[in-house]
Amino acid sequence: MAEAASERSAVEPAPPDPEVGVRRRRGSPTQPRLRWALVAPSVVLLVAMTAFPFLYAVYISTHTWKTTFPVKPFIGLDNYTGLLSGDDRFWNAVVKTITIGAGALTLEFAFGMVMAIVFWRTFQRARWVATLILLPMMIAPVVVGFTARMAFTDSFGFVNQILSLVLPGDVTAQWLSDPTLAPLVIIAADAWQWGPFMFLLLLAGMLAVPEDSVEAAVVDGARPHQVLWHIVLPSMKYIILVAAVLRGLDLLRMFDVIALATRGGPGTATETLTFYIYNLGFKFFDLGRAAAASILMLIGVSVLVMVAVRSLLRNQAAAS
Amino acid sequence: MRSRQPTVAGVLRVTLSVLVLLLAIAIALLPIAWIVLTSFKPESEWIADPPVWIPSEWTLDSYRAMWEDGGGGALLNSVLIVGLSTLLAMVLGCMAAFSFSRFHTGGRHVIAWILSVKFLPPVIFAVPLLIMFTEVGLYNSRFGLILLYTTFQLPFVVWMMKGFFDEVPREIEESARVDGCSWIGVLCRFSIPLAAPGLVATAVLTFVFGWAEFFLPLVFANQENFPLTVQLAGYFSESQGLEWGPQAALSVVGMVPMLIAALAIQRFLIRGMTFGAVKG
Repeated sequence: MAEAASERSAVEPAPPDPEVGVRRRRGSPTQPRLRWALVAPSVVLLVAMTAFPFLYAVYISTHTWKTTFPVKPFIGLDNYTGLLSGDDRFWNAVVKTITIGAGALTLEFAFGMVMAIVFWRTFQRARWVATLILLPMMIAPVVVGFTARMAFTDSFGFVNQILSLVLPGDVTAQWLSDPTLAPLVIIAADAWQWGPFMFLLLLAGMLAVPEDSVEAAVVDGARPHQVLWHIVLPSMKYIILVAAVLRGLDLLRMFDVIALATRGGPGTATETLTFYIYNLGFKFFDLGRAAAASILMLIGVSVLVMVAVRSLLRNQAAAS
Repeated sequence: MRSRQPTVAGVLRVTLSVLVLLLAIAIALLPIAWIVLTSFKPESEWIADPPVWIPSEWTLDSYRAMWEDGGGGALLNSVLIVGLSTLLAMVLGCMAAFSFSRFHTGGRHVIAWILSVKFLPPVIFAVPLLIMFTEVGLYNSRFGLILLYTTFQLPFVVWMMKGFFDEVPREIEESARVDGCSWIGVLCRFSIPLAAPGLVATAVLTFVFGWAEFFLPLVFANQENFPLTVQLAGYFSESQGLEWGPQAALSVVGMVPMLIAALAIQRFLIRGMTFGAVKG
């Protein structure tokens, strides 16, 4: 598709007179040398700050590399095998990353879908509502984490206060000190911030479904849920994929909310992969093992990253 | 369907929709209201059982305490680091985006690689970068932080601006070229002005994302260079997180400019948040 796009741009309007044509041929109008000069600063910065560090991380990961030791002996893949076969805390972090991520993604998707369906036929044009609901997304995740900490602190937090009003009896859940409840705090905080994102993406997807096909189905006597299932959802495949992948990638790197709300605790109940790598490298100063965990994480997320990049590129190529 | 008479089901649907809407707005705004209210509470009401929503007495004590605890310096750090890195990312990013948009530089591979940096967790690069930064003396320097912020903001700028440049009509640029304008001249005098609304929206969102950044300064800086986000986290180590008033005040100071920024560019908000996947 990119090839087609570049071919299209190669078809230039014919030069108005021969003289101009000569000058333009000399300057190579569609592919001037300038094009690499414009890209160069960005490429240099990204190579120096991401590509080279990645190779350096591979090197570090094959050594015992601790800031407290002057000697850094080569140990092959021991850091990797140590993580994969003997490090319960690493596996705990993998499990927590996936469960918290999947929980938040599911909650956000469900919220977004219900809201989008409710709004689809009723509030299509109310842009101010969209902006109002989008506001949590503009808040720094650390503030969201801090707010979650205030909100869920036993009897001082307003969550138990509000739950006690709605539910029968006095709710006194120990959200932050119970290892099974603490992940829910993180999920709730993330869903509060990003549920609206899902809602707006899915609503935009629904509004893009051609009105004609919906009308035709209704005229043919289709029930609302049939229209939704057979007409609307199939044409939303792309937007659902984008929403899930963008959100999923963001969830896999989650750190800020946890750092403020639970600091990975109680114990390691909310210690995600990013948080564990941070602890390994910058609290325990085991840089070799932290680098190995980073490489493993990179391998783990690379498929999702490829899906995200591909679908965005395809979308833009189709739009232009 | 639009000409249909109001039916029981129709009225019910609208009522239900309004209720869901009000509930959603309440959920979105209640925690924000809590932070704002807490920042004005007297110390005895920061932590109360049952929680107090409306302060019995409105006071600015929390703001004063927060400012004297280093909040002012953190605000200055945030403005400097995020402002300069946004500027740098915009300049570099616009140049690259123009090249990608007009000349398809490097095919789809180079742009795909740049975009992938946006989606990789920054923690992956933290360990090697920390060792490198310590070696060359960039650890805990404002310049080092600006470089880091710029690096991780750049892919967003490149991608968004490529989209906006793609929408600039080619005919205008072509006729400028025929009139003897250089490509740099075309970029500065035609493409950038024509893409100005998108450019402003991209810059604002880049600033908002940088403003929220927490991990990079936490790892690569010390106290004197902490921005607002790390300053907010710093309260925990000192006092077990019970300084709710000053923390809320600091949160408000960090939050309000971003909410205003969001309202200012609401036309591009959805497009920016979805990396152009939805034109909104």
